[in-house]
Amino acid sequence: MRCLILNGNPKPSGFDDYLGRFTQAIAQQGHAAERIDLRDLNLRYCVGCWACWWKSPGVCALKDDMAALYPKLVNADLVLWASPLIVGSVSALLKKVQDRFIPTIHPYIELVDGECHHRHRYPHNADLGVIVEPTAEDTDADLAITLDLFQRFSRNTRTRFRLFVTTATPVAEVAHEALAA
Amino acid sequence: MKRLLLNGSPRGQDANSRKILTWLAQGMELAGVPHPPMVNLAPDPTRPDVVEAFLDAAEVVFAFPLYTDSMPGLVKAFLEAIALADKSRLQGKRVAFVIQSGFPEGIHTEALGSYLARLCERLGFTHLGTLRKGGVESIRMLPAKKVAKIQAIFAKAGSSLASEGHFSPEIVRKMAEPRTFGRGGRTVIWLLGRFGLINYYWNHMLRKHGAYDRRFATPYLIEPDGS
Repeated sequence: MRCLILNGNPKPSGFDDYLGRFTQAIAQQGHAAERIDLRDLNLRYCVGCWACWWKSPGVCALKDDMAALYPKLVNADLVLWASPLIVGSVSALLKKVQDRFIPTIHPYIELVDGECHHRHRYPHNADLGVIVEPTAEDTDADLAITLDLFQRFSRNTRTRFRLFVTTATPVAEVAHEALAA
Repeated sequence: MKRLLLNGSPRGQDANSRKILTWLAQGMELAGVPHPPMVNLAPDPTRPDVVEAFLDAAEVVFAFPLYTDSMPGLVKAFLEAIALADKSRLQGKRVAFVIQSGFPEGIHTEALGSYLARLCERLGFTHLGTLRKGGVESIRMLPAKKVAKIQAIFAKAGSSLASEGHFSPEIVRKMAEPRTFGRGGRTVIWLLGRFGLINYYWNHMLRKHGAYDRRFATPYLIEPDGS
């Protein structure tokens, strides 16, 4: 299994260590695991130009470090979206990368379970997992909202939602959950 | 009272959110409130002048598009920037939101609506309501006559904000409808899909840009043989 961990932590902290141990745990079980610290990349905001839908299908018009990230996103089996909670949801840095997901879906609209959604572009989409680190201020309601937002993302991108955990969960347990197909 | 219209669209000047804010302001003017100034978050949402404009206003109407059934990253960056301000500059600020989307059903904007209500609690804002309106992606491209009806609805919402001090709950509720389509609506969409009408616009644009033949391209796919 190819596991891609997108670290949306904007500043180095203990959250990185947690992800480091998680990445190691996955690798130790014989799987390919790569962690990418998004703060080290040059990433622009999606500008809603839709060139990726109608000018260069599947290819983003913005020239930045997403170009190297797209093949990893598309060919992974599991993508873990990881971030400390900031003002009650994942970081702007991680959200920026979520927004740039648009080239990997198709503009065509179809009904999925009674809702309008975009069509798949790729035959296989990586499963989705979320790891968050709440602050003392965050409540169960904040976690529930973050989960809801990612469930919507999962429906939209037609990916299987595999796990949602906080850093209070032991790394070995998260690795076990991530690897359970 | 110092008011501000905040456009959170990454498209900046050429945005549906900007158009909607203008319509809301027209309704506010009808209720006797002068057209508030408008500020764009794009291209840099953490610019000191943008953050200061927000902190300085007593009432803000903040509109932005739905991205991945959530807020755009640009909007999140702005929220992270204002959350660092002294609490006294946030407490009691009157804030209304507008989430606009291309998807027609309200279910797409529901989770984000919950987030914004909780955000107001967290930062001490007085929440004046969140309008969630689907099916409006094309308003920036359509002639005035075609959008007159929707313009009137937003103007009415703007009037209610100015005269009642919050968006009318009735307008808030109606705008978010339908939450999902019933059997009849789903049949219509299925038929539109069956006869290729639902994707007419996309096909038109793909052809216009000479990209129709490449519409199903999968440029980043690595085949099992590594190709």
